[in-house]
Amino acid sequence: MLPRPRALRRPLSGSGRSRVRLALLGWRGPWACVCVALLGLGLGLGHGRAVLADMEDEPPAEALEPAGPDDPTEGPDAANEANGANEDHGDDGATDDGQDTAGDGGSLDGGSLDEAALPGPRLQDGVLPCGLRVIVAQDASLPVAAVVLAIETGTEDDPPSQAGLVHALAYHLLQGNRELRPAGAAAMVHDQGGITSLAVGPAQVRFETLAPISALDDVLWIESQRLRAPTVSAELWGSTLRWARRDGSRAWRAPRAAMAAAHGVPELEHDGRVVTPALEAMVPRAIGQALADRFRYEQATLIVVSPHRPPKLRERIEALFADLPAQPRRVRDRSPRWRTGTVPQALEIPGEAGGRFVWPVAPDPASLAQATVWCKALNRQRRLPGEPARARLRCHLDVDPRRATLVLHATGVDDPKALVQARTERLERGEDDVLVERQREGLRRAWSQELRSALPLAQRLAWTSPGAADPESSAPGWRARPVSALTGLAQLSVSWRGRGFGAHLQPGAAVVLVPAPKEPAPKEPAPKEPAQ
Amino acid sequence: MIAMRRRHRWWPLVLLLAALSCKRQLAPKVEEVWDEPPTVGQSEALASLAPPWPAPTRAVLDSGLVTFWLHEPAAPVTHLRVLLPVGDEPALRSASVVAVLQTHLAIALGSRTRNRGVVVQTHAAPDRVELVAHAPIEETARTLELLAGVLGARSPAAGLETARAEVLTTIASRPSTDELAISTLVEQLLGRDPGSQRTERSEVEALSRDALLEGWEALVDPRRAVLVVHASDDAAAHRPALRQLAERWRGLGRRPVPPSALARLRAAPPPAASSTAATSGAAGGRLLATPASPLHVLPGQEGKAVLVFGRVVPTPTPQDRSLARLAQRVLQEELDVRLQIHGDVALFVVRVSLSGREPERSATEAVDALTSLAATRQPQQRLFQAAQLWLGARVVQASLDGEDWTALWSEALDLADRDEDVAGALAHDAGSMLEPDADALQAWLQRWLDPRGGEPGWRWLVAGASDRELRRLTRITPLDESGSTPPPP
Repeated sequence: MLPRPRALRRPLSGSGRSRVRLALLGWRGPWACVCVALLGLGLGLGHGRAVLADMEDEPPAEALEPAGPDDPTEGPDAANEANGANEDHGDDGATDDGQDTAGDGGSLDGGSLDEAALPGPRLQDGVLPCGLRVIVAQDASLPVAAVVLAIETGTEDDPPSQAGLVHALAYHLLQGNRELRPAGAAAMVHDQGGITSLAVGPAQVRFETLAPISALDDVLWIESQRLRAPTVSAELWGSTLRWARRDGSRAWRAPRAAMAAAHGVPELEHDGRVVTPALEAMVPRAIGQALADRFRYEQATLIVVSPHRPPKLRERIEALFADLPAQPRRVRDRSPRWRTGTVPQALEIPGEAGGRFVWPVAPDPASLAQATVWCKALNRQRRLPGEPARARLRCHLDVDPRRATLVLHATGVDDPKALVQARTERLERGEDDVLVERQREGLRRAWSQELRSALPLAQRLAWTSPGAADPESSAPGWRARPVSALTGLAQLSVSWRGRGFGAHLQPGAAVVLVPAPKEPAPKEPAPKEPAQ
Repeated sequence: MIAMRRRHRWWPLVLLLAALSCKRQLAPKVEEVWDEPPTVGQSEALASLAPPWPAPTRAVLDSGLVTFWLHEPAAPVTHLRVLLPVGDEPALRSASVVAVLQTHLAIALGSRTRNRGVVVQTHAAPDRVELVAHAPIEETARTLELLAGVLGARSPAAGLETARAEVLTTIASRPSTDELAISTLVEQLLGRDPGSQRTERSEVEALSRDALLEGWEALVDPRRAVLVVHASDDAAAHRPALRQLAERWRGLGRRPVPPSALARLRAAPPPAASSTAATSGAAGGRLLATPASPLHVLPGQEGKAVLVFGRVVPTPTPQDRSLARLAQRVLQEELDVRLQIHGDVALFVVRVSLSGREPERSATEAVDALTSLAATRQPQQRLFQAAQLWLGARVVQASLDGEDWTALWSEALDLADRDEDVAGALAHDAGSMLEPDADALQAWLQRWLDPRGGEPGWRWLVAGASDRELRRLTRITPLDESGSTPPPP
């Protein structure tokens, strides 16, 4: 089940459990959504996490982290029942003898699949002359349409002197342009019963809308206008920064420095949601230039999931973008720089207890699926003979469509690296194939259920690889492709018996976090001798 | 010094310019007249704001259970929803009993389906408890089997005790002012016993084992229940599981078996809330007009004072229900208005936060606002927009809820008059809402929702008011302080 957005759970009273029998006390069914929609009318009935609110004073949306389970890998760990934490940090500070190799060597994206042979519904995947990639899928179960405009830029593209720039600019795109008044896009969606939200990640910004199909033309028109010459003024920029300031940082399980090291992208290290004085000092001309540089249709993908037949819808979309000048598609490759050595790279982190290993995950749904399955399996592995009773290995996945990381935390042993190696080797050798198969099947079911609804399907299609390395997917034209290949379900639907990790969980590709040595206290200056 | 004096001379002009520049930023006010009917294209697009359901399979099992099987070939999940009417059963009149039974259903089915990928939920609707299970398609038969085990249990005394403990751990020590005010108003409007519409800790603790078991037997009788299934298989594929369900889940004793789902789920409203009572004025008077309805004062903690007022509105036909919902949508733009349609009648409630300084003014303004809205003819396109928003939000919410057709079906039950009409009820409702008749709505509003000049039947009460606030409220209305300490003179 798709978790219901927090904004839609709006109990009237603050008590945890309202027991008044008549549902008058709570907003039930569509009324909850109506309330949310009313936010756009300025009635002040509440403010939601995922929903654009009135633009007068409140921020229109909190920037959402990319959709995904909070922790898709949590589960009962029957064997790992260690209670105490190991005080010994374990790792001996391994040296990095690995080499960095850029590319998608670890990606499991549909490249290895024969798409023509895959069963199931197909979508239309194409690139318009203006460089915009468009994915059109059909979901006829309810008269709603989901539209996602995913732009392949993110907080890691901030200039060093202007941390938080992309985040603030994403908010500024809600301020309208010549065709849309500030907050006009949100109001148009809300007035028809839809919801709309903004997601800002390290390498992707998404504008997401779910609306009744009667509003589809309006929503498509909004997305065809959103990036065209946004209105820029000092006043609007001031309110943009107010919204951006209220949008707190996302808590990642891995420290940002570890993410940056694992992906080989130093720009991931800074907090992309800060509002610095450098942003406050920006003048309209610079803001306009920054918007024009970073938010362009040739960097974007428009995903539409609706009950309409894709070929018909395709024509309507093509007409909306026909007046834009022809541009080649321009997408940066976000594949991690896979390290190929045998020893993990040690990274000193202040306050780190040790025993944590961080791997990058390739930016496509299939790789995320694979990492999720491995992680679930690792969390459920039985303790190996000879392991201490307190030995415990926990796996966590920081989900992000472009910069996901997998974190293994070994505790209760003197040598965490040996524990990680023993457990992963066991998976690699196929000794836990039954366990892995069970997790794969469970994830396949969960994803099938989740991707049944229009908005989660559109969000998942936005995870699909931007196709930087694939000239075929960057050239103008349309292709019919199976939905399952782009969502990762195809890879989850075949047995994994005997399948290794590839580059995913090899020790050399990891970053191991070690405690930073404490800096010696500054020596007190020697007392001066009294001047004579 | 000369320069200083010159600057001082410019001050008034600067201020004037500043004021003018501020003024210029405001958008000019333009009176809009948009009373034309909506365009055909829009109406056609919106007419599809209802689920595209094929005809469901309806069956009555040997045990008397009515089942609707909604078949969607591509559905990856099976949704099962059991509707258990509370109705006017004496054993289920206490909200505390229902709360314990509902919790037991969630715990019992949840524990049995754990590790099967089945999500179990329960909902308390005004007149029924709904038990919902979302299961992977391959678990459909097994979930039906488990459902039979839970609902067919004869006297689950231990489970009910566990549920009681669970309720006690989660229940608030005392209700909030809002809960207290609205539940009391609802009790008065429906003519129910005081306290029957909210769960209280002391009452849950005091419930006897027999009362719980009696409530259990009344609630889980298949001869009063309805099962709705939304699955990728049709009902024939699950005939053995349904047969088993009929064998294991049976009712006790002899009792009349209403043949239709609507007859089971739509209990007759209590006499105090019947259409007759609503029109005769027996349920209450008018607000700030004659015959005046006294303002009931709720005892309790002082704090932010809340005023609630409302009435029962007869909604015997689908058209009446559409009008009621449209009216609520329009009024909600200016007031905190809630509407709960309960078959042939609807409960309409307005909540107002009273100003601490001038509570009588807040109360008068709210009543005046409602009176004024009821007297205003709304432009056709405004009504169309309100309907569009409501219907759009409904399908969007259904999509966010995981496209569970059984939830929409449950809603459609309240909109139909016969079982055969349920499948088309949402579409019909959408159609009638999208063809609003502004004059009919105004007439309806003036009759039912004008608290000063419309039909009597209004009640109001205040909760959380201080003595000073009560004294000020006496300036506009007589107080009914039965059960509360009178304010000092």
